[in-house]
Order: sequence, then C-alpha cells, then structure tokens
Amino acid sequence: MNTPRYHGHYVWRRYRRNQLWLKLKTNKVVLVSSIVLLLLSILALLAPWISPFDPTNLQQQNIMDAELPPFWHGQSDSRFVLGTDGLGRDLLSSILYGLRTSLWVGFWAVAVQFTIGTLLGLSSGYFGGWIDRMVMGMADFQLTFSSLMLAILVLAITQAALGAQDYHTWSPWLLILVLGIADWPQYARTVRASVLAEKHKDYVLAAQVLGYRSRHIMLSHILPNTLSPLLVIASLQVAYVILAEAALSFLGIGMPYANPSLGGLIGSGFEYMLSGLWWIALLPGLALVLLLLSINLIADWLRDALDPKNIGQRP
Amino acid sequence: MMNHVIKLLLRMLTSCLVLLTVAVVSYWVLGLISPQQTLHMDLGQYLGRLLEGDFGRSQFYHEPNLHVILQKLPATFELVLVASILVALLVLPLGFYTAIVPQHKLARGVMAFSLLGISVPVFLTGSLMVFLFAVELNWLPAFGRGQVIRLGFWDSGLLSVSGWQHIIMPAVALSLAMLPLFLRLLRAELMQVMNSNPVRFAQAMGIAPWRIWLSYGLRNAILPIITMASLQLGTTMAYTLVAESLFQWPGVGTLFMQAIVRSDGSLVAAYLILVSAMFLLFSALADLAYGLFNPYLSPWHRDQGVASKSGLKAP
Repeated sequence: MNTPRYHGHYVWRRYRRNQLWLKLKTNKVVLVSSIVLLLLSILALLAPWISPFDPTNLQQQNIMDAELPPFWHGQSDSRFVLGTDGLGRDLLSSILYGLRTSLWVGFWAVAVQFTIGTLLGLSSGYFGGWIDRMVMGMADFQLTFSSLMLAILVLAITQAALGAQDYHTWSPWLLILVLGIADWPQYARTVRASVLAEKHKDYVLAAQVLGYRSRHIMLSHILPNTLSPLLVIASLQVAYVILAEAALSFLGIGMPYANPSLGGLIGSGFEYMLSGLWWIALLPGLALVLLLLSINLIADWLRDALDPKNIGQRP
Repeated sequence: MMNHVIKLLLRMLTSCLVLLTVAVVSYWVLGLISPQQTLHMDLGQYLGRLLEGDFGRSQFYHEPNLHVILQKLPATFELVLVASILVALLVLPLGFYTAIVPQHKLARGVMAFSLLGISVPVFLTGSLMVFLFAVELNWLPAFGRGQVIRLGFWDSGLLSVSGWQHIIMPAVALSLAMLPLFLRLLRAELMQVMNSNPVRFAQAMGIAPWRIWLSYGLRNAILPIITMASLQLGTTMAYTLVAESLFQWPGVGTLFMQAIVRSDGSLVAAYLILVSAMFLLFSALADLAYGLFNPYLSPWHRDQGVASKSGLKAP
C-alpha cells in the first residue's frame, strides 16, 4: 500500500527549497556572516570545555603572567595564545566566556522583550477600546526614553544603594530584566498594526464563530501571521541588547568583575592602553564587533527578505 | 487656534506630572543611597524645597547641588554641540550622495561603513582613537578638557587651542556613533522622495537638479529626521555619558558616575530631576521644530482645513 510520505527527508527538502534559504545561498555577505555568527555561538556555547583556562577560577591566575602579548609578538608565552590581561588571566579564555555572557544576555533580554511586547500588542490590537489606548499611550511614553539611558540610571542607582559587592551578585539578572522591560514598545506597535489588519479576516471570524477563547485565537491564529516583522525586530534587538550590555559593563555597572564580559574586558583594558598594551582592550573589542556586525548584517538582510514587497521576486 | 492652546496646556500638564513622578522617585533614591538625609525630611518637605529651587547640598563637594551641576553643564553642552554639528555636516552631503547614486561603488562603500558604524560601540571607537592618536602618534591629548576661558557663568573650552585639541576625539567618537542612524534614515527618505511622481514631473519640466534635491528632497526628508532626532535624544544622552567617562570629560555624565561611586545620594537625586527636566525641554523644542518645518502643523498656518483635506505636502 502506498502511504503518503511525510517523512524526514520530505521536510528537509521543503526547507532546502524554501525561498529564504535560496536567498541566503545567493547572498555571499550574509552567508559569510551567518557562518561567522554560527562559529562564534558554537565557541561561546563550548567555552567551558574548549577554553584553556577558567577565568572565574582565581587559582589559575598568576600575577607573574600578567601583561603578556599575543602570539605574534616576540615575548609571548606559548600557554597564552592571545596574551594575558593585567591580572594574569588568559585573554582567549576571557573572550570566549565574554562571548557566552553577551549571547546569554542578548537571548534572555530579547526573550523578555518579545514576550511582553507581543502580549501587550496582541491584546491592544485585538480588544481595542480603552486597553488599546492605555497600552499605546504607555508605548509612546516609553519610546521617548532610551532603554540604554534608563538602564544606566536604574543599574547605577541600584549599585549605589546596594554597594558594589551585593550588587554584583544580582547584576546579571537585573541587567536582563531592565533591558528586557525597557524595550517592549517596538514589538507592541508592530504586532498591533498586524493584528488590526488581520482581525477582520475570515479565518478569525470563523474561529470566533466556532467559539474559541480570545486567548486561543490571539495566540494560535493571529500570532503566527504576524511573526515575520517581529523576527526582524528581535534580531536587530539582539545586537542592540548586546551593545547595551557591553556599554554598561564598560561603565562598571553591568556584569560583575569576576564574570568576564566583552564590555568589561574593554573597560579594564583601556587603562592599560595608555601604556601601549593595546591587545587587552582591542582583542575583546574585535570579538564584539564581529558578533554585532554579523547579527546586524543578518538582521538587515532578513528585513529585505521577509518584506512582503520583495517576496514574489526571484532571488 | 483654540486646539493648539489646549494641546499646549495638555503637554505642559503631562510634563509637570512626569516631573512630579521623577521628584518622588528621586526622593526614594535619596532614601536608598543616603538614608540619613531623609530621616528629618518627609516627601512633602522635599517637594516643597524643590519648588523653592533648593536641590540640597552635595555631601562630597559641600556645595549646593544645583551649583555643582550647572558648573559641569557647559562641558557636556559643548561636547554635544560640536558632535551634532559634525553629524549635520557629514550627514547631509553623504546622505544626498548615497541617495542620488546608490549603485556607485563609493556610495556602497559609505553604506557598508555605516553598517560597520552601527556595530562598533562608541567606547571602542574612542579606545581605538586614544590608542592611535594619543599613545602611538602623540598628536592629541587623551583626556580632560584643556584650558577653559570663563565667560560670566559659562566655562568655554571652544576659545582656546588646547580646548579644541581636547574636544576633537570625544566629539568625533560621539558623532561616529550617531552618524549611521541618521545617514541611513536620510538616504531612505531621499530615495523614496526621488522616486515619487511630483519629482518625476519636476524633472520632466526641466527644473535644475539641485533645486529638486533641496526643495523636494530635503524638505520632505527633514520631518522624519526631526522625529528621529527627538526619539534618539535619550540614546544621545547615554552615548554622551559613555564618551564622557571614556575621555574623562569633566561633564555632567562623569559627575553622575562619580556621584554613584561616592554614594553621594543628594547629588544623584538632583541629577535625576535636572536631567529629566532638560530631557522634557529638548523634546518640546524638537516638537516646536517639527511644527516649524511642517507648515500644516504650525499654529501660524491659516488654511489648515483645506490642507488637511487635500493631504498634500507641497514643496
């Protein structure tokens, strides 16, 4: 008997023939940046296993190893491929752990933004009336404040109130929470606009007639049709959140000192730069730029590729 | 006319409400950071003193907070001013150039550079410039403000050679951080206008290209630019704060970060109130500028009804 074959290879073939994938294959710049991003993410994920040292372990630190240059210099040490910072920590391990921190903060903060913004936008567009007016009023108000400035103020004041020691046990979570809460309006506005366009279409009316709950209609009928602009915003926001985390850590109010982050490394390396030790600040900076540039390039491409105006075109 | 008066009143009312909220929050912050200061002063007394213009005394400087902040304000203002002038001088020619010949190699290079600019945080450009121009080449000073000349209550660094030498690097770093956003926006707007029917008609009539660019292109692109500028006000503040603390620029941002480190609660509270007041003032100014450039929104425009009905944006 011939059964329809909805098996693995069929799904795989469908993905291979997907337009998005075809467009990706033809765009060299984006292909390279997605490979770079993939590599960086794998390195970051595997950091605890592949990095030669553990930067959080004080036992492996030796002040005698401090300020060693990277491998292309004459006086470098073979144990430290990219040199060491001012405290004798291996720079390569710190950068790997820093990438991990950046991606971790970026992912969770964007997850918080996405959830808050989407839920508020969905209910604002679907229910309308005073909920709509209230949510959009809040969004307009919030949009005028910059999330980075808000994060600087909130985190700095919390640090002053708690003292640096106590503050740094909570700062990673606080960072995610502040950056996550402060940036929801973009999502809410986009979702609301899409919901307003979708909610009078027949499939929504059909679902309403069938007696589904509003929650079910919003989440499983309308939301899937509004996802693509959200994806673009979320991918741009990952880059922005990573940049904001780096700036906050650079100012000394982000990640704790014991927990290496790219911004913190650049901040502590800047002091050594004035005496000519450029690699402590600039090598983590290079990693940060690579990460941000690849995410920005992909997000930029995604915006064009998912734009309904361009969808019918051949790649 | 009546409509505008009501709008203005509403705006002032919301501004006052925001300031009141900020004042309550800053009382709370004061209690968090230096609890001894709020022991003998309840919220009502605190608000009363604020209304009289008494922002308390700084515990570190032993001077009135208002005085301390006003002393540091000129430095920040001059930095932002020079950076904005740089942005304006660069963004107009580059925006027109990349919009008029978008396929040209140099124009593509400029756009690629602007994408890179988004991905390089201000503190990294700053560090790189310090390394190149201050440490290696020894051309420019790495930090501070140089010689200042006192003009009444205003300490100006723009009247001496050393002041200019000191302001170059922070201002360029700050403007490079703001430039890509405006460049991309101006280019997108100009390209949209250049492809519109009125412009094609004007070209067909044989109007000189520069007149089309200025009176059709710039005039229609200036409104989104102003909106963007007012939305980016907070981000500019945050970037200024980061640039200030990188170059040890003796401005308001550095003052705030130092007050945090020194647990100077009363100065932090005063900073919060004054910065929010300034923020509200500047966003009101941006709205005024919007009205000025958009004749149909301006209170002095007479044929409002006709214009809003026809919905035209005539050059």
